[in-house]
Amino acid sequence: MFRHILRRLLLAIPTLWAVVTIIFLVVRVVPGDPARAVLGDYASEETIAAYREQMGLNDSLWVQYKNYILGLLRGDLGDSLVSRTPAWDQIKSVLPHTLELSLAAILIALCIGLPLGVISAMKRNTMIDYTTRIVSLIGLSAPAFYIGLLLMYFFAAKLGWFPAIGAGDFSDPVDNLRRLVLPAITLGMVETASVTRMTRSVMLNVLNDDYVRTARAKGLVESRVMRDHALRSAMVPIVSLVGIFTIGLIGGSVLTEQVFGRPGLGSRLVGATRQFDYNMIQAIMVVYALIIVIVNILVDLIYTWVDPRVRHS
Amino acid sequence: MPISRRQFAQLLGMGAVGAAVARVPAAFAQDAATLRIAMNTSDIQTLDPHYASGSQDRATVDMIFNGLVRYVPGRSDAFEPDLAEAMPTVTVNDDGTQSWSFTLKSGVKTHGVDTAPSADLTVDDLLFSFGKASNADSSAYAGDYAGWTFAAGDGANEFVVTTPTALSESLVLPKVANYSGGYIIPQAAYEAIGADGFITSPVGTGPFAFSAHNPQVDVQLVAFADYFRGAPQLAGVNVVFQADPTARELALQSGDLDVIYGLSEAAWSDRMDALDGYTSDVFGVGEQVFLNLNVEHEILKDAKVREAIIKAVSRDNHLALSGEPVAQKTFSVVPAALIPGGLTEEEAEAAGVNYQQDIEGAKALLAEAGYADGFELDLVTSEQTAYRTNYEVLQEELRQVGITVNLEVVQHATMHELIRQDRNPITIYIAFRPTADTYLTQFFSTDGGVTNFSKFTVDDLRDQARAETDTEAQEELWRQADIAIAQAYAGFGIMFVNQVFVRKDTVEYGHELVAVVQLYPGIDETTTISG
Repeated sequence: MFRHILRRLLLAIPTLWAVVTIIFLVVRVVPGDPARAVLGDYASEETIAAYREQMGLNDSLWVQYKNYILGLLRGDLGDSLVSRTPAWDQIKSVLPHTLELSLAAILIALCIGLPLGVISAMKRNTMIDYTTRIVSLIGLSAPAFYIGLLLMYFFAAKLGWFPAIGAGDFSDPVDNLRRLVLPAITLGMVETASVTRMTRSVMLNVLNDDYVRTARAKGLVESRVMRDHALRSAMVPIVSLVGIFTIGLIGGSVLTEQVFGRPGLGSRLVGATRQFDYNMIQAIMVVYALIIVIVNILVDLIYTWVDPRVRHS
Repeated sequence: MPISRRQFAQLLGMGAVGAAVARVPAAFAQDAATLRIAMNTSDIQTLDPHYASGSQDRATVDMIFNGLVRYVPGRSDAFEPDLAEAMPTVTVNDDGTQSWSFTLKSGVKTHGVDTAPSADLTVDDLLFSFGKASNADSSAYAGDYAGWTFAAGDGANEFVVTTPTALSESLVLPKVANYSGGYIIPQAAYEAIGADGFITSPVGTGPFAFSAHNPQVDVQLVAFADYFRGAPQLAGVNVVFQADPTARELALQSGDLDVIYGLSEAAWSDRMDALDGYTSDVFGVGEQVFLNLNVEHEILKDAKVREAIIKAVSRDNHLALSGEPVAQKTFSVVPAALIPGGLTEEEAEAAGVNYQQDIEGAKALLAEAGYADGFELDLVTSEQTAYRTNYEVLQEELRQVGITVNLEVVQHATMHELIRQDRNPITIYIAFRPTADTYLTQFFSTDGGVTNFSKFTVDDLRDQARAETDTEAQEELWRQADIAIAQAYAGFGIMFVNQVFVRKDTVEYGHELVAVVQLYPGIDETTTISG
């Protein structure tokens, strides 16, 4: 397993290099000037030119690329062109909020989606199954920002149970939790629907397999058949799906973050893109790439726990 | 009924979560004296006042910094002393230059930081600040001070600003006021924090001192007890970033916010105003929406084509995007209702430049110009609603006279880049500028450079107006420039769009709201929250 992880990490190096190179080039191909975006439309051409010089934007593409790669090798993600502070400092300040929100949403999705999917599969073509499928379809179809605004309307504006916006401070866990509830439910609802449908689908396949039939024929109680034979086997594709969801959530929670006024990596990326903050965009993409590598390794590790065949191979 | 250890642990966990969730009021009850104002953005760009241009940045720096003079709170058409003891005295020198002498108030304290404790503001700080503001390497507004010099005067606390020619008050005061390059930065603090650090940790002399910046969440300001006009009545101000208008509205109603940046729509403003406990304020300064027609474009160089385009445009169509009184018509490229030097409807009518929509007339003009079958134009617009919708209305107006507009929507900064490369034969520009001279210089003079989108210039009239120290004569010259632009069909004023902010009724700004150049209601030491 150690060699496997090491191999994955080594493979990540060319992947990261390709990602940073492509992003480096792509952000510069889009027409637009970071100096103009930062200084505003009132700034004179003289001021714009001075800013470009200060920020090294007048250097040739090759010189900028070389400086960037050398910086990366030293562990320096560069400075934001807007705030002129280290990009990593900004990422560090928002990343915990994104991880917190994503993990909470995944937790909600697993706690609700897995049992619902199993029940739906067990009660196939009954009212419970139909209801679950319809509700999950609605969950998949409703845009996250719309669900978020509805939750905000009822639970913040009308009932006053939760704050409408903001992320809270990690030093105040109670406030932090209160501010997490609505966004986590918003994001979790969409994922719950996906997990429910996926679990149901996988379970239906597994329930028709010979080993499940054999387990039942041996006289095992249904709960044990489900827990030890069907669900465990079904977990392999579900774990893959959850891994993909997690990666998607970390990058795709931007709408939820914006509706609830939460800081986050996705929102920061959108802001950086609007401001043509090349260094910030590149830094965030590097972090995304690293997260994808880490999540994939975690998924591999979970595979070995869920499926002994992987471990033995 | 006995319960297992596992059930007990589960109940305990659920109880803990429930208790946490139920602690609503205590957990996030805000200090009543801290005002929370939400701006329409996701974060600050810069809090260095000499670079601040976004509305969130302008609003925030206005609470932190002062100018030598200031706009009378709530107004954009009058000045009063700020850091200066009195309004300046003016002397015309033998060499034709003009000196404006200010006397700095004694005992004005700067905000303190660890590396630069609070200290008295001095003339050296003024010299440093204007030196920075007039340098293109350290200011976006350096162009405003071209040829100006700054020096300590002979008298105690005296500071002298010298302009290369005699200028009227209306051209000088905005540049030494609490706006853009006029904000005073204390030298010691700036040097201690550094140019880069100052972007997110500014230090000034205003009623509120910078406390913290939580990226993408808020900027926290605290009351400056030693503020020279007296300690603020608020404990502080949180400038909250929330780009989504519906979320801002709900957060206001949930009690998370006290003031929100609103939608520039009369219907929305009326709806919010009708809510119990809230007041919607519609106030200036408005952002002027005007057309720039490139007189050197291969098709638009024919004046008949430009006239046809202007006659295809209906101010009412554009006004309907926001509705009155949020939007109001203008009749020249300089908005008369906001600043001196624009044309009123009557003046435009009298000068024969109050052009009205005339579809048939426009078609006839195009036929005369050899474009009976119309032609195609490629235009770029920003994704920002104000730009995009105005361009879409223009697209439909021009379609009615046979001109096909291929509209490309791009990012806001990209649009600004492209229009400076002459991509648009017709440019809609939306901006507030503090003087008629600024509008004419930036958009209709040789000095405007890449922002002279029309390529039409009124340099002579602009220069004559600059040299005119008699206010009425100066304004008349600006009006003549407006008329010249309109007669050449090079520019066309459509409307200006006011600011809309909604506040809880418990919030009192401390002044009447007419127009605020800093693009927010104006929060200072007199602002209060009751109840």
